[in-house]
Amino acid sequence: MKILLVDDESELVSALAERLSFRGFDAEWVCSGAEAIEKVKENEYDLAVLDVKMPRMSGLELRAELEKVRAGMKYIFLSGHGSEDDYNAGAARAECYLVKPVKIEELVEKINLALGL
Amino acid sequence: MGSTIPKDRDGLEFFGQISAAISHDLKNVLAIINEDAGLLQDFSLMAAQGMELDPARLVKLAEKIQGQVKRGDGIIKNMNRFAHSVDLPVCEVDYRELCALVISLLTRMASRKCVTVSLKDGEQAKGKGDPFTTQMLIAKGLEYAMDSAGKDGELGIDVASADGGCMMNVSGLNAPLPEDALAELESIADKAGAEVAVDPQVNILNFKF
Repeated sequence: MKILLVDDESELVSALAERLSFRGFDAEWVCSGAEAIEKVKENEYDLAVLDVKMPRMSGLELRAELEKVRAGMKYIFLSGHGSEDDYNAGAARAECYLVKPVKIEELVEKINLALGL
Repeated sequence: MGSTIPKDRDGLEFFGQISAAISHDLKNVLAIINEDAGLLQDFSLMAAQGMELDPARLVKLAEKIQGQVKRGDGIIKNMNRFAHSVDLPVCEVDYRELCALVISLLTRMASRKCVTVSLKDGEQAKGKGDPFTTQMLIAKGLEYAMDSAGKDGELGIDVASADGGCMMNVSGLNAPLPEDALAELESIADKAGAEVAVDPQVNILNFKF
């Protein structure tokens, strides 16, 4: 399963990708919406994990853009906040919404659920 | 017991806005430490199954965690300075120092709005003032200046002593400030015992403390 992780905190997303790779996922990462769009143009991903609050393009905006490039991808949102607005916006548009710091087991479980594994 | 209405809702909102930004930054710091610690755990489990551990990789991970602890410590120091700015309604303040603190507290906002904010070199600029309201004025001014500068804009801030007080210029505006924004700044400036003006000729927002 191919997964794309997008978060402006490079240290976070690189470590998360490595940990997911240990668990059998083919995980790649980028730090901006623009990079994510390029990646999705070039590769086929099953699921993207998006940070909600990013400079230039929020996770919600990015999801809308990625849908145009490749319809049918699954999404999980990550956020540092836990505001009701974020949750409502995220939960309505994604397979699931997790608040940082996230347990890897929980993320893996949500990925599996989203992908029907 | 009757209900009480906060006297300064603007101040509370500002306090909340800054606290929320700080909590977001700290959440990110904790999330990174969490993942790095998780990686160490993963390596340990794999080592227990016979995989060879790379000491250089462990050293790098430890350095990353230490770097995040340092980052978190800086955020908490700023948070503490900000929280103590309500201790005294009036005291001697260094406007340059307050400005540097506000810029630091607004890093996430600047990043979200894709604007670079830099404080130009200069001397201390001290005077008597209300630290909290002064910070609120600078922060609100910078927020509107970022909107005016637009994406990829660059704001430069000049702070200097002037006439027993302090002059602060924010340059790099690209569009006039909306009237209601200017009215809000004037209202806060009034509370801070300051004056605010915009020079449309040179796109500069000016504060006089």
